[in-house]
Amino acid sequence: MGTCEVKARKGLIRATVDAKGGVIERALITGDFMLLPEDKVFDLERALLKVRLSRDDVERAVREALGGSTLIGCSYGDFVDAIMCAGEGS
Amino acid sequence: MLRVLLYETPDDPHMNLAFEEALPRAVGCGLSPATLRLWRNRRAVVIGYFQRAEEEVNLEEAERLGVAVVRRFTGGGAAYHDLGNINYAISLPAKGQVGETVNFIFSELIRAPVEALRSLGLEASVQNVNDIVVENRKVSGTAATISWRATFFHGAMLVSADLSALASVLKVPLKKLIDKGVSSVKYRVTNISSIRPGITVNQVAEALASSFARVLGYDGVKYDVPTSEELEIAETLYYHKYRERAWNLERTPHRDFREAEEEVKRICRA
Repeated sequence: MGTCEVKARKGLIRATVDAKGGVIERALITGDFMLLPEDKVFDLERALLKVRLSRDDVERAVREALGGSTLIGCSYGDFVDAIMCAGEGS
Repeated sequence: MLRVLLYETPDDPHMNLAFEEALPRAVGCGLSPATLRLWRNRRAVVIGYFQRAEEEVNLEEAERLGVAVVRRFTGGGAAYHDLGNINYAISLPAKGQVGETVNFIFSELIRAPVEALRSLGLEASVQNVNDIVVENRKVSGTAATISWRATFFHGAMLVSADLSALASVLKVPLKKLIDKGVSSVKYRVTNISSIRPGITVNQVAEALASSFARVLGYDGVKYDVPTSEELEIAETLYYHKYRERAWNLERTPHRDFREAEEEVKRICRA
């Protein structure tokens, strides 16, 4: 299990990722960022399960899960950075 | 006239937050008009929707000091509340696209607390999207949601709060402190009364009410009491969500509190 924090322009995104054999088994996205509608974050956590820990695959999962949401002061890239960093440290 | 509620349950922060969610729900389903609420907690830490209590709060210290931990329904960071802190919350019927509404919230609605402080002689401004600062120190954090067909914006304003208790119960990530160039949260936030000695929570509350009315184009304010439907929604949310450990400490999403959702829908339809 690895945890990584990324300071976005507004807010901190903290990812906690459990990856085994290069595949995400559990992901938790916490922090004081702002995103609407809020429950898309829980969709993202679910979408990351069984995703290969590669930047392309994680970015695709982030874009699909958070698609249509409004991010306030943060970007898809901030989420990808936090998830990759946490996954590589797990 | 802008409807203003002073309804608060300072000794029950879970009910305070349940009522906070009840208002946008009641406004969104047409039971209530646009409403500003001003309220306080006696002692609580209110964490954001995406936060985990153990990551944000020194739970042992909070328990020692009798500080309750309550999760709210908006994103953003943890806030320390005591009677020296005034909370403001505006609920409006939602209209327009989400992106436009977010822009309206953080460029128009946020002017209300800023201009309230200016009316009291303080040089307040917005910094970093949603923080309100005076003399480069944060005096109010704000957050918002567009949910349940309502536009909702709220904030907590430090007037004469116990900043030592704030610093001892809140865990602030090192990255945030480095980013702000300070070594402790104490040096990043301040009380309005430290800048303007003698100022009271009541004076700030009156200034907030007038300012929200002005910014929203109302002629003035009309103080009111909660309706039976607003209280019924709040009690439903309290019993089925806000007093639950799963909500406050385990970061469970709204949709998992099915009884609360179904019961609120029933009240809205009645």
